[in-house]
Amino acid sequence: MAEMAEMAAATDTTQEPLVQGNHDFHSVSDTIGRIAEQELAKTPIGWYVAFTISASVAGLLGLQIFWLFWKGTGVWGLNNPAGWGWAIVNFVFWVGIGHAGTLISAILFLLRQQWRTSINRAAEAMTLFAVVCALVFPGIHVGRVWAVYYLFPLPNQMAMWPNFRSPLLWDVFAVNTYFTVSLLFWYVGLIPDWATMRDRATNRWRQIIYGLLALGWRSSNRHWSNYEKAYLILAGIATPLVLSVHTVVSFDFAVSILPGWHTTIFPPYFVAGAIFSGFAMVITLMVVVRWIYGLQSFITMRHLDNMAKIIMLTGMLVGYAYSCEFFIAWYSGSPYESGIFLLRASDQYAWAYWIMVTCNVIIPQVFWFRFARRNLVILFVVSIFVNIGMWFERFVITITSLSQDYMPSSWDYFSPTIIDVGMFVGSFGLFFTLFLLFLRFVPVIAIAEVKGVMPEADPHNYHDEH
Amino acid sequence: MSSMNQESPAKTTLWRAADDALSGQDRSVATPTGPADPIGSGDNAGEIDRRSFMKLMGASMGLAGLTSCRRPVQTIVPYSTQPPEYVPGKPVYFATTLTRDGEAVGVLVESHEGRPTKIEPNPSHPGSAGGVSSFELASILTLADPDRPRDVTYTGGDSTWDAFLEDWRAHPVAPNGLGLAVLVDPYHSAAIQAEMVKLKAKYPAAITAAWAPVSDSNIHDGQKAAMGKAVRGVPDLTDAKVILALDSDFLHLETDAVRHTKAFADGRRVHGRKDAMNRLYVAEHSFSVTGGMADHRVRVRRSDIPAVVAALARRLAAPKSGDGFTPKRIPGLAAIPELPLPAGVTDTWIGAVAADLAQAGKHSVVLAGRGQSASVHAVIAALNDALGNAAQDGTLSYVEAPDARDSSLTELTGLVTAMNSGAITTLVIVGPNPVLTAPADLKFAEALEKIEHSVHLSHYYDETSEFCKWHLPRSLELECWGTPRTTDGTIGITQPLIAPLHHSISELEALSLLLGNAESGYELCRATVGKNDAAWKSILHNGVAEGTKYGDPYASINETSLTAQLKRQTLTAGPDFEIALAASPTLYDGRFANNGWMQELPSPVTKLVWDNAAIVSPATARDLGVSQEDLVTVTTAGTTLTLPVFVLPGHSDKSVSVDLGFGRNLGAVAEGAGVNAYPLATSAAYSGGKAKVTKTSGTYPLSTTQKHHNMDGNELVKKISGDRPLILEADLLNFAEKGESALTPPVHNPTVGALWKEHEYTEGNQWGMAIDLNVCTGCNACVTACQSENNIPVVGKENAGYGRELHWIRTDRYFKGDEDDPELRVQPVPCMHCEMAPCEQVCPVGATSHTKDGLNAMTYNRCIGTRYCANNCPYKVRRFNFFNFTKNGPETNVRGETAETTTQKLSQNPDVTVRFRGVMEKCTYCVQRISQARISAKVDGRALKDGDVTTACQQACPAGAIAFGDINDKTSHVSAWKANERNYALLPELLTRPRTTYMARLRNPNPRLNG
Repeated sequence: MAEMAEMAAATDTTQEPLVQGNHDFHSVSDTIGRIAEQELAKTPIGWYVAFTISASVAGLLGLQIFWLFWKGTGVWGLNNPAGWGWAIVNFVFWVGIGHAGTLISAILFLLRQQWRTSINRAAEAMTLFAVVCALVFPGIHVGRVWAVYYLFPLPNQMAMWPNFRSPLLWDVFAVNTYFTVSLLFWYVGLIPDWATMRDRATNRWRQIIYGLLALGWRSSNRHWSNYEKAYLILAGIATPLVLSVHTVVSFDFAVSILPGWHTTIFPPYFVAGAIFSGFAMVITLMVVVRWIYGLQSFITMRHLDNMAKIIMLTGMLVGYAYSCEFFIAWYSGSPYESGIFLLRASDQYAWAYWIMVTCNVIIPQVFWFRFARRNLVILFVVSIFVNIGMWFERFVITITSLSQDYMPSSWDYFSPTIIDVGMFVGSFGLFFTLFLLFLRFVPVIAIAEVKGVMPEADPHNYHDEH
Repeated sequence: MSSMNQESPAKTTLWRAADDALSGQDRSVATPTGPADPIGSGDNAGEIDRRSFMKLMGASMGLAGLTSCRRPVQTIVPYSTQPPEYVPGKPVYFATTLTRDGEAVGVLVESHEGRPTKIEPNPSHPGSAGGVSSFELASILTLADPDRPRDVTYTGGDSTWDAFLEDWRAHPVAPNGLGLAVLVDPYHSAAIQAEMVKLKAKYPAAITAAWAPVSDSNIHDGQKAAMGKAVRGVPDLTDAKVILALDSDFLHLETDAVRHTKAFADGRRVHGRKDAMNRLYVAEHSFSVTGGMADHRVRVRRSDIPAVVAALARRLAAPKSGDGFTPKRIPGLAAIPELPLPAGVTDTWIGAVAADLAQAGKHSVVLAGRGQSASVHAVIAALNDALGNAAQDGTLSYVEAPDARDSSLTELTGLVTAMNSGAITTLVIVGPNPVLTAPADLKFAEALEKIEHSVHLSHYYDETSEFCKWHLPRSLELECWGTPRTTDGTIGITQPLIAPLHHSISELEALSLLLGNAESGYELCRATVGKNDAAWKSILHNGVAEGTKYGDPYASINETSLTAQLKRQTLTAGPDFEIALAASPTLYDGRFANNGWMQELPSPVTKLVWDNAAIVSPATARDLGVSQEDLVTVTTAGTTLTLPVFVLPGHSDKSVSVDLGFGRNLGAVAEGAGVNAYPLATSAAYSGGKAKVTKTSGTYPLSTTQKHHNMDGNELVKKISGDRPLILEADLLNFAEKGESALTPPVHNPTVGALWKEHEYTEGNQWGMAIDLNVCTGCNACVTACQSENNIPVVGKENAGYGRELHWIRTDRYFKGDEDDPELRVQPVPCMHCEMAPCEQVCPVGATSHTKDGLNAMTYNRCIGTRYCANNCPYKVRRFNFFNFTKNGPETNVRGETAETTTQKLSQNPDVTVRFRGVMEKCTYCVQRISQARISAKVDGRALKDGDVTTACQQACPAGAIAFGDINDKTSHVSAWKANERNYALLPELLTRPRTTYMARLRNPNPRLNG
């Protein structure tokens, strides 16, 4: 029997059940809810260790931000041609990672991809935290942080208004809208689970807090009906945002006149890259989370397999974009355009360019093989490579283009300072701090949704087979 | 006294009042400078209760706190009677003259409420001819230098003038001056000459000497030997058609560079296709500003120049077939040895140059630099004479210069011998810094320590001051009187713009003090040049005394004297490996070492800032096995020094150049900047000679404003960057024939139009600029002028290394041709003020916008510093304040001073906002000047006319390479330039429509050498 099941799985993965193991509705609530319900004293020691490290690194980020505000933007390695450096690279990197969550939630939801249910909650949380990390950077990146509110259209006695022609302003709106909608979407999806947590709570504080968060959810038909509509509508709103936010981020580059930035391929290229990096980050996190918290029944190899396929697809999409850029640079006949691409691949930043190509295009090709898609170590390692590669992609785009543009007299080389590196590391500290808090206090898998994809949820279907 | 002065008035006032109240003294004795009863408690005079005490203390503490929150409280006292010429906020201009080793440049100084803020050229002064160099411009910052000595010091400790005078009287000089020695700067001034004559008369036995490390003494000695009498050659390049410069940077570092630049540029101004232009041949060891302008340049080591001179003399005397000129009689030819031609110079080259010079006749001139020996200059004088250019209407005239005194190594050596022999008991050094600059083998410091009474008057407490008993602060030229003469003899006036900031006296006053007269500089100058009131008033107003130019007594060659000179010091071939020591193009002889503007001014060709280096050619670097920034040791007879390598294409092989003037310990700015190269200089080889360079371990980071990477071997980078149409050029003959279409590389001018209706700039004044690349030498005067006008802070070596320098106008340097022997191209780049400015569209807060008169304006208050504008500027002219450089620049925090208390702020222009950290800044086309001109025109009820507005860069430019004005006015200067066939826009394919355009460079190659 077991052999037959394996053979079946090997030939047709879609037939693999989405929830494995011997689970019923109660055990689902129990397995997932338990993680967030432990008494504080019983929190695993590993969580404390991880949280201490993450929070310390996040604290370092805070200190470095203080230093930046105290001294000025020069604590970074920026110079005159390269007015944007790691801060912008990190911003685009984190915004990119913040794509997978909403993509998995909204688009896969609309496409009725039921396999998304066990990963969407964590992926959405990851999105939110990545966007939080991303939002840190543009704010502190400006020269006069105390005047950063000029970016918002606030009525003032001088009747001064932001410049709506600037892509940077579009960016402010795009990222903030995305963050708001993602937060709402995540929260709405959490309401039935907050109620489950409330109902399972064994102490007063939990009851009050989860009760407040659950907004009075009683699981009535009317509630479910409203909830499903609201969720569908939010999914509908979030879907175009997934595409728009990185499109607008790409406009920061594409709308400028800098060779290497001024290309029409950027919006789809950025979106593909964002999905690519987002899924890589989901794999990185999920491989670890399912192992630590024993969630193998919910986050199954089938999920990981599917995500690996998406990584390979989007990896090839960005690979196509890289080659397309070269073709267009040559085809345009513009010496500046072809110049920057040749320089990227062969001159002072060639190392970064080839790291990017290796990590993003070459390494994910292992996912052509099924064993690689189903080997946790390979999945983890490749996903890390993709994360590295995607950071370098933003580095290559931002910094090489700025360093060597029209006037060779102004060409320079960007060297990061310790603060550049420290802030990047610090942003990971912030990300993991938030993610660890999420793991500790929020159901990491959408309990209600998982129940919905179990055979028990569809008794009709069950009967038909007989 | 000084401690009292340093207390702020606010502090004294507040606490004295509290003291008075506390001690219950009678209020009538309270100081009148502040209120005796600050809280006006009135009743109970003389007594105070606990409540009042608490109130008073509370208020005092509160107020004291308030003062420290903001800037220090300063008392502003209005004039009780307003002087008619002063209108607060309106600058007044005074004519004065600034000198450097016998060279005088007339300037107009802008003065705001008695505070000099900006140096501008004085067009009526022959030494300026309407231009100034960075050296003059930077003197404003030297004036404000907080590291200048504030009072007299005795053996390094604080002292006073009274103490010095007491000591001076206690040790009188012997009646005939025996035992007295006076060392002065070389000078060319009637007033100083008068004092020196008086000195000689009063103290006949005293030894006098003049010494400066950078001087024309070899040139003058050579000319004297050639002519048999003390005459000096004064070239005038206005009518020169063919110029040969041998190791002579006459456009930047040689005497009268400003005047020569103007004349040279006038000879190269081409308006139409028919215009002619001069031709410049240069043979030099390193790449200089002059070499960059050459039509034909050869790399010849300094020590190989005599061989070139000898070959040229022989060729002129005996032309080969095809040279096409009649043989010239070269006086003293027999004494000129036959030397092998150095590498790089061909017989064809010598022939072509000789023929061209001979053809030009009196319109030719041969110039050699001050690094060449007296014998070389003697032969050059003979060549010029043979070419006929020393004739009455030729390019060269000879003057006698009775008021001048040259630097003399012989005198200095004699002085040191006397000092060592114990014959000198009192040594007065009025100006020079021999401990630093005297040849290493003289061991001046050791001799100086033997002197019982040594007095040093100088601008800084420098290397010599440390070895002297007394140091007296010397006034700068902006603080004192003087009557310097230009090389042609015209008398100019140096008048104080401000009373000495510190307790200093001038050179002239020091000499008078030495004579026991203690006359003021004013009296001494008045006595020499201003005998009647009308003449005095005129000279004060114009800055020059008309008609005081020397006559041109035609001097002919004295063959006997010339031959004797050549016998005494014959022309020789160079050593295997040579070193060339020269004044730095930025710090000069080191006098600008503590001047931040000059330290951060990119060296014109290397673009090095804040350092000197061992400059070698790429081939020599390969031979030595070194690359950029590697450390090497340089050994001469003087000493061994460790220096970082700078690889400069176009430098001569088997040779190393080191700039003097670095590595000085004058103050916060000079500290740690470069290596002092003076110890390499010896009496026998002061400007360089035989040297040995070896690789040593380690590297040293050099900061340049243009990165070295771009000129390294990477062929792809060269190819990618090399064919960009940034600097357009053509050969003169080609241009004369084909006009615009002769310009290369071709520019792609797109024909596409805009998608929407664009703003039309047809109303009112529309400002525009054109820069003539054919006359721009890349001397960087515009950069310093802009820095001075627009309060541009200095960022320091580290930040300059990051590429954060803030200059609003930069001079881009490109090499053209092969790495070993390239040509140089320079291009000043200010903001282009694009009509369709890419920067304006991307600023999210609208901090940069267009004015209706076509300026791309910055609103600093609105700028939040996203730097997007700088990223999107294709010309990369926007500059960002990464730190609060004005406040925390390298020159502040000296002696515990803050930006608020230092004298440095004195140099700032009150018409221009000082930018805080975090804002973007860039060239404004000197919008403050436009506003001022507009207001003046409005007051006069007239429209602005061409020439009302000049930008700081345009005004300073000695070459007159920049035109600025209203492009709507078709008769304006700038419109004429823009209508010229040579006019082109930078990167026109971006459709930015820049308001700053360029005029293509023309080359005038000799057809015999072309191809």
